[in-house]
Amino acid sequence: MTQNSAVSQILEKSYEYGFLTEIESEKIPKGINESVIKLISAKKKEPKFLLDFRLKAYSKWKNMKEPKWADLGYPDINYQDIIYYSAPKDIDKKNSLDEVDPEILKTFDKLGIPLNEQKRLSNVAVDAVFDSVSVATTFKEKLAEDGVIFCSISEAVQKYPEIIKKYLGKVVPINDNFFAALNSAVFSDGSFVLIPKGVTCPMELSSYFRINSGDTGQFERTLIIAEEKSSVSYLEGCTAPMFDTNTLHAAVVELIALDDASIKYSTVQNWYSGDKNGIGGIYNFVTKRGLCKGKRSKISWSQVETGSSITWKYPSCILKGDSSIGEFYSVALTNNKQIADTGTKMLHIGKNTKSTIISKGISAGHSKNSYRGLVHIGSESSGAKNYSQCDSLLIGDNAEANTYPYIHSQRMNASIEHEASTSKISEDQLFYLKSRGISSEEAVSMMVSGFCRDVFNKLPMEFASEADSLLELKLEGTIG
Amino acid sequence: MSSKQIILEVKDLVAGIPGERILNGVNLKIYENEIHAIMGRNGSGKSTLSKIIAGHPSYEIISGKILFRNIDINSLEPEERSQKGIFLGFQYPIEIGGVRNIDFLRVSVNARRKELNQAELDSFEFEEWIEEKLDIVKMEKNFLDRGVNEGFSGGEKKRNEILQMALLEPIISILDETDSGLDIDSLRIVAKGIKTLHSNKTATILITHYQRLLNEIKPDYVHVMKDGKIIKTGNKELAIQLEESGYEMLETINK
Amino acid sequence: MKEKLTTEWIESLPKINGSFSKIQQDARNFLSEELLPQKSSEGWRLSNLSRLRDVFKLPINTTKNSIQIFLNSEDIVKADISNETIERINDDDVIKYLSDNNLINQSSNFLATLNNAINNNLIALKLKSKEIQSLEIVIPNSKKELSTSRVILIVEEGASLEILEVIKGSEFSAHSHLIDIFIEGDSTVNHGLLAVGESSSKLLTTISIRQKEKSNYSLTCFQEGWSLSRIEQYVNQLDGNASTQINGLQVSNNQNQLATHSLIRFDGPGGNLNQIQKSISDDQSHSIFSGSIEVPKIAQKTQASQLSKNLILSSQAKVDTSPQLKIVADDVKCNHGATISQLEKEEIFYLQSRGIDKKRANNLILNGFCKDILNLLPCNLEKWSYLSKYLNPIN
Repeated sequence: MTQNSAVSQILEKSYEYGFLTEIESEKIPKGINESVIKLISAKKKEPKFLLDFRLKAYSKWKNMKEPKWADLGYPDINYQDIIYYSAPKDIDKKNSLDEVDPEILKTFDKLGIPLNEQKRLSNVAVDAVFDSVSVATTFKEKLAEDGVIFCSISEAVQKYPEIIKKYLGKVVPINDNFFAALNSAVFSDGSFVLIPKGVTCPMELSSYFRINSGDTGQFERTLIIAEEKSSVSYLEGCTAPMFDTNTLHAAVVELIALDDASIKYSTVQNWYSGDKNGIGGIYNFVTKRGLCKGKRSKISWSQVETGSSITWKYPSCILKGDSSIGEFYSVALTNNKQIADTGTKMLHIGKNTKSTIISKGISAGHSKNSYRGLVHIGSESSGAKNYSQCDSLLIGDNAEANTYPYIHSQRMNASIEHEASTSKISEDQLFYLKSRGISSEEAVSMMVSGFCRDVFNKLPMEFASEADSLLELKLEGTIG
Repeated sequence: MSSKQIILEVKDLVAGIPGERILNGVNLKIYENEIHAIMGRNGSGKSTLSKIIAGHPSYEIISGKILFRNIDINSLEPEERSQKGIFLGFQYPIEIGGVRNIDFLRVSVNARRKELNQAELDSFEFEEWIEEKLDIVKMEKNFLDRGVNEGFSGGEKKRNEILQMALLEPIISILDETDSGLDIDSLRIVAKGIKTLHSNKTATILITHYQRLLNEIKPDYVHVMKDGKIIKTGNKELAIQLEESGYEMLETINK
Repeated sequence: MKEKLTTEWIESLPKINGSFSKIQQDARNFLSEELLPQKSSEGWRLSNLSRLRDVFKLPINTTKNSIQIFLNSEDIVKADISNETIERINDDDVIKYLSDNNLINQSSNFLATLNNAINNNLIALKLKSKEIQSLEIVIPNSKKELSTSRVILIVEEGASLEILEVIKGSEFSAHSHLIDIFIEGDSTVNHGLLAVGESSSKLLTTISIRQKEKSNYSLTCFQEGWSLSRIEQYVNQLDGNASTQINGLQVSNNQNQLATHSLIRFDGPGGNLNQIQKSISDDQSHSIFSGSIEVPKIAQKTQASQLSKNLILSSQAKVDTSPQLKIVADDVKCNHGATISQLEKEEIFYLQSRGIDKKRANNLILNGFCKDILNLLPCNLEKWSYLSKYLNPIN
């Protein structure tokens, strides 16, 4: 078997989360206008400030243009053809987990995220989001003992309106970009986390996003606040059924770390990526940004991106507090006709700020995988340091790997280092492993895992295996 | 002699890369408990022969056969050959960044164990088991946590090869210039390892330029290759002769 | 900011007759229709566009044929130069050659179009000799005027050439320069560009190279001291299997803005590229590098490396660097890197501890930083060393 055919066979494993759950949903009519926004807000019984927030965002959005600069070729999205709110019908009853529709519980079971008391992941609290709404949050009481708030953002709006009002839209302003504005206008649900002063969150927190409806956009909103000297590790996972139409996912994630706080945010993204010919799949246009507001605060993004038909995402850090630290660790695997355009922005504002970027892109099939990143050292940011490393691995001669780093420095005593390389799995390496009894499939998978090791090491222990099994979906037979 | 089992037989092997013949009719029979040395100048076809036996995809067999324990292995993938007990010690072991040596070794060993109907080892069992093997090649445990051959010195790479040989317990080991680039201490360690692992049920082929390794490991047969053929076969004396008078003396023999 | 060049300005350009009039007219039409470069376009995002606009306020220098050319130190412009080594190419051949596909006419390139629109100072030569020839081209310019120059060279198969272009800025001047070199197979070209400006002078340069198989091309650009300088480099390996080295050094001080934009494209397999771009930025100056390497599917076995090293010497200087790779072929080895830093304190301290004063120590280190680039400049550099302290080897 030649190397390429072996590799492509391995890559053509099917998407095992593509099933559709039969469940009655309550949907509002297609399209977006002021009355739709008012309707969403009313359904969620929101306070006035939030309706105003939404309406302001909508009026900004109306005058914004969809960005074209990421050289992504995709057909125009008809924003009037999307349903902006869809919820499982019995949503109001969700006081106890036992009351949640068993079909939904089964769905999450099937996705490997059991929500039942008995089967729960032992050291992980999960907020499960099904289409537009959060259906269950586990371990809430246990977390409350430490003062940790972990709930859906809708619940937080009701219970902690002052906190929401204070922080929502502060890191990602409502008019930040086209998709962030859209999200600000119509966001349906998402997760909210607050770690109080001095608390180390006793368990991993996790959100699991499931798109079930084909014609519904998903616009979730996540807000995480880590108060002074607190720390938290958070993971989000994503899957969707297979539809031959494209579904829009435009999320906004805002992180805020105060003095000496640390937030680690990990994503394992496996939205449906479309079929071999690029039909269907999720358009994943998300805005993720963290503000290191306090001194010595730290925000670390890790991501494993394997899904979506188009991913367009740049989790960023604003390093405002002196001696704050930003990190970005990314693995993006694209196959078939997938497009991933991902990277980060590290904005150094405070003194002695540090950032590290490690990006690993793997492109196979006819896919296109780009790293796009900005390192900006501002004029006040003396002693700033950045290290970036961007490696690409090409599998097959129709895949594309691009690297677009932008580096800007206005400080003489800052230091910036950027390294990048592009390579392929060499025939010699493959033969060496095969000559030691290892099959092509396993050999390729080992080498891809090895290529990503720097990043996998950064994932929280509990989720390292999840990331691995995700890669396994496309590269079966990983080690360990 | 006839009671001995045959391990490897190469019959009239003509082979090369597309557009170029490298082997022009190689014949070789190797029985258990034998050590063969194959000598010859650069480009004589020694390394090609070893890679073809291991199933390297860049080479094609034009005619002839390779039989391993009387079975034609032509259509077998390299991993299947390895699982059956054919081991190639690389002249230039390949570096594979990021893949931990110990993970690689365990997957490799388990593939072989599966073939032998032995239970696969989990990572704890494997770690225990490998520790005793490390001593054969005098390797430190921290070797195992590094990437496969990544940043290894020449001597470390060759010792890693012998370690793999020790772990896989092959039926036949073909060691391609395992002695090249080694200092005298590493050479002794490597030679000792090879001797330890050789048994009356296995066979070894040493491919080498020099007498040096053959002083440490005494071969039963010495073959000299030239232009893709074995032009002379003898015993250890032939190797000594070659060392003294060089390959020129064979030029005349060949004519 | 959204503005075009005025019709009056375009009409005021000296008209030329003969074979080039069509190229000139096309370029004028383009300029009268298109907007001037905007911040919103990727390639001009970082440029000081108000300085660029000032260029068009200057009167045009209409002096013709003022390019000086020395072949092996002999002035050959006045002499009849058609001999075994070198010959002038007639206009029709030049037109034919220019109409071939190349990277600068594929895209609507502002600098090249501007040069074509004015285009009153052109020299086109064909090099034939197998012996190494050394060509020095001295580009004229004059105070308070916008001058242009255009050089076209065809390097025939098997030829070997060293060429040094010298551009010296004078006060309140602006200059547009465009050089095309077509390099046939088995030939070697070592190309240097020395561009030393005054703090009020501006330079817009385009270097367009087409390389055939088995050719070697080496480019070394040194730019220093311009109010605005932009060097665009386009190198196209037409069928791969060629070798390209690109080296650059920009030294900026005062309010200088110096930029290098390079695009290297491999249209065949087996090509290699080695690129090093350095900058030293002092005072309130701004240094820009944007490098793009394109490796399409056909260009298997390409090896390319690109490195950007930048020193910032003052708290008000700025550096932007963006080394980019676009790769489709899978059997390639490409890497790039970038660093921005200040002078190593440890290095300076080491020199000081050996009795060298701080200023001298700084200079020694800066000199070392520059030297490996400057040493690559071809031809007789001493002759020009008065232009810049960095060129003086004793410094």
